[in-house]
Amino acid sequence: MKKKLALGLAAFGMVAGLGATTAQAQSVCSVWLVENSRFMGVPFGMFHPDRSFVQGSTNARNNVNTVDLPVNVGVIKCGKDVILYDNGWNATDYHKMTGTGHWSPLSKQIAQIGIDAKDVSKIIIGHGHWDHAGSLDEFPNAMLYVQKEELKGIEWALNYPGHERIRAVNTSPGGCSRTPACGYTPKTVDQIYGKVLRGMAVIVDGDMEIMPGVKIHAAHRAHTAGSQLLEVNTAIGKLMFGSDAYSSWEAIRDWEVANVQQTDSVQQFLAYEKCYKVTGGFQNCVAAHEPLSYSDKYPLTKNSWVGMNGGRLAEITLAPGETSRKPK
Amino acid sequence: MHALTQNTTPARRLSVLKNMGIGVVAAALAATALYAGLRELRKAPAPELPAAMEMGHADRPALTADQERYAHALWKVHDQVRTAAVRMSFLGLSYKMGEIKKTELATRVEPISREFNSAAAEVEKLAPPQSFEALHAEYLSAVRNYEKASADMRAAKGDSDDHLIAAQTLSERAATTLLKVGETLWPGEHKPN
Repeated sequence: MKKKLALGLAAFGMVAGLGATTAQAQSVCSVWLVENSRFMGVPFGMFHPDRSFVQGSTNARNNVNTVDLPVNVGVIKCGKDVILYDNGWNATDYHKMTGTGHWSPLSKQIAQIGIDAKDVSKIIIGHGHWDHAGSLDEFPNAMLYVQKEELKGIEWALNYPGHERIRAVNTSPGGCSRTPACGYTPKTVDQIYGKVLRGMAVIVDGDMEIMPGVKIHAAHRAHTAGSQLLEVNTAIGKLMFGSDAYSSWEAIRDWEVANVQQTDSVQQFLAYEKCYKVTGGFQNCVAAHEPLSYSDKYPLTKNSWVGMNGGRLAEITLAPGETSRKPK
Repeated sequence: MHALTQNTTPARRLSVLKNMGIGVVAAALAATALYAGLRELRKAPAPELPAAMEMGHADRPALTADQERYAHALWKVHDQVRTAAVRMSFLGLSYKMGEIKKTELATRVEPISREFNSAAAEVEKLAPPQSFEALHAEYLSAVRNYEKASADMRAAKGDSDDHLIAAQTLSERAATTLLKVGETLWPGEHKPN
């Protein structure tokens, strides 16, 4: 019996040791969150249906009429590699007048944390919508990672042979809000194509480890056809970035859908589950549009400050030896 | 309180008590009315904001009737241009993903070229108000760039992607112009996604 126990402990020790070795091989990354812009006064129910505004309600879940939604971009530094998860958008100043505040070019925003746009080596887009994949031209040296399914999904919708509403884009008669080809502007699609054309893109088909400790997880139809998550190893444990599959951190916590666009709710919940499984809960799930971002109410992002044009930044975690970029 | 109980007759005491009672009732009624008023104020519906104001457009000057007519007319062409532009990018992607060959790419870009030709003709027919003449010229130049880009894509042959790169550079420039013009003519064209 004692012998069996000893063998068992030895085996456990070997497995634990193996785990430690694997963990050592993984990069430990520093992570910041940058608010590329803020969509002002968005009706809460449009974003988070279970939190729809009810006139006169005293229930805290239903008495908020509109919310300001940040557009969050993840800045991940693993050794010398600088990775962006999503890249916000970059149009003209005119865009600022269309219900958006606190916008600045992402390249200038990341300069605030001492990162040069030229040093960005990889950009993983959680999906291809204009507000998440719209600054690719600011990062000429970055390799783009996009899901094949995302590209196929848009093309399928644009060429759908049946009812015209399925292939509607926002200029179509009646416009579009959530139909499959919505949200992909000519400029965004052209920039993705430009990266592919110049050999600066990896078209990902499913899951992919892009470096030790940094892994893409496919989350198809969790927001768009080819949504993808990003797992990152850090000193505070695993983080999981979700773009709009994780639009709302509160929704992940409460198991509710959010920002339904081309979303299959089951797939969105499975994407939530992926965060719980990989990170051990909901605290380390990084949401793209969480209204509580940069506050104590979303603890992961509370170590924050206000940067250029009122856009906020958060220092989430630092790798050993990395110095803080937060202004004193 | 001491004077009331020690130095008054029972009749006067009753009268004073009666007056106090009336006072208490009056105060209670006033308090009730105040409470009800405050409650109603809290329940009062929030003023309905116009959609434009909710989305932060309130400080934009309204378009004049002529500008509005032009924006409406161009929107119809813009729909055609925008969709054709995205389709063209996807054809390039299909080629790069190995799904179609260059010969098929050229064949499939051809109808898109025709769409750009027809869009350019439509734009030329429009008479912009004086205040939008520069904008009109910009939009037309964007459509012309798309025309050239589609011609470049059709010209792509052999192993070189030079024509495709030239085409993509032109189309990206055109797409940037589309955004710029769109933000003046059709604010809110792009919704939070």
